[in-house]
Amino acid sequence: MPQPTACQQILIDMQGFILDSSDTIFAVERHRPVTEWSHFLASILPALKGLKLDSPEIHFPRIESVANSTNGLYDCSFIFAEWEDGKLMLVWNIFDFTKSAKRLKRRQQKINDAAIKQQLKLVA
Amino acid sequence: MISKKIILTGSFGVGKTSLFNQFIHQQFSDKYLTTIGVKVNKKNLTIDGKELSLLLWDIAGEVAQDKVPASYFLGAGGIIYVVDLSRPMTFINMKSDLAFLQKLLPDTTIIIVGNKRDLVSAADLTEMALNLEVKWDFTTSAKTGENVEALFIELGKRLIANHW
Repeated sequence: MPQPTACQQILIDMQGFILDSSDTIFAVERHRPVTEWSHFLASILPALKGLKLDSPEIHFPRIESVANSTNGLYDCSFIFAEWEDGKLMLVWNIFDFTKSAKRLKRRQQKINDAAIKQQLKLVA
Repeated sequence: MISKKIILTGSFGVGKTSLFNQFIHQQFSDKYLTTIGVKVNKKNLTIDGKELSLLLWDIAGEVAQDKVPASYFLGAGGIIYVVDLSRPMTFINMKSDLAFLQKLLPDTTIIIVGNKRDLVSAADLTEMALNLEVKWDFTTSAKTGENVEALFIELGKRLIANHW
């Protein structure tokens, strides 16, 4: 089982602005809403906003581009929490598996190539 | 502007990433490189004067849709289900996959695509279609670009129609 080499936590308000970030994997753009620099977040934020404070944590395994400027392999999870003033915030946890990506890709490529070869043999 | 999350899904090696790259970058590579996770990118379209932003999720192929992490489908406005016209094995789970997706996302637009049109003859295509319970809405070739833009325009039209 591959282990993450780094973790980052980002706190986001309900308008999509950054409240805080550990910046351990990448430096977030604090002056722009997250939806402008992450297509990944832009695509799920409207749905995430529909969740409740007590909703279970949601996991998104193996995302290759968490921010538009990153290119790696990351697991993400989201959960709601209360910010200091009692307002809701979204906690975005990112786990970096980029160092395992090559090995995982090579292994999957082997499996898929063999299966495709077999399927094409059956057609011929 | 309307913004919609679109998922490209289907078995491995059917050409999802190639369709994604052809649509977004107008690029094609003959080399098959497996996707192990999710690539997300965006493309804006203007259809009948309405602006639409497609947030595309190119996800790793699975032999059956119930193997795809359920979270990937969260908030999806459209699904492009891709099969490989040159590999009939990729059609095997089409009926059950579509039933699964329709149950999971009852209000989501689903388009079925037969890709790699350049690898099959017109006669073979007709014969294949006759033997299928569920047929594709589009045949495409990510290699030549045939019908790729048309596929996304059609999806965009359906999304706009459902939005209002």
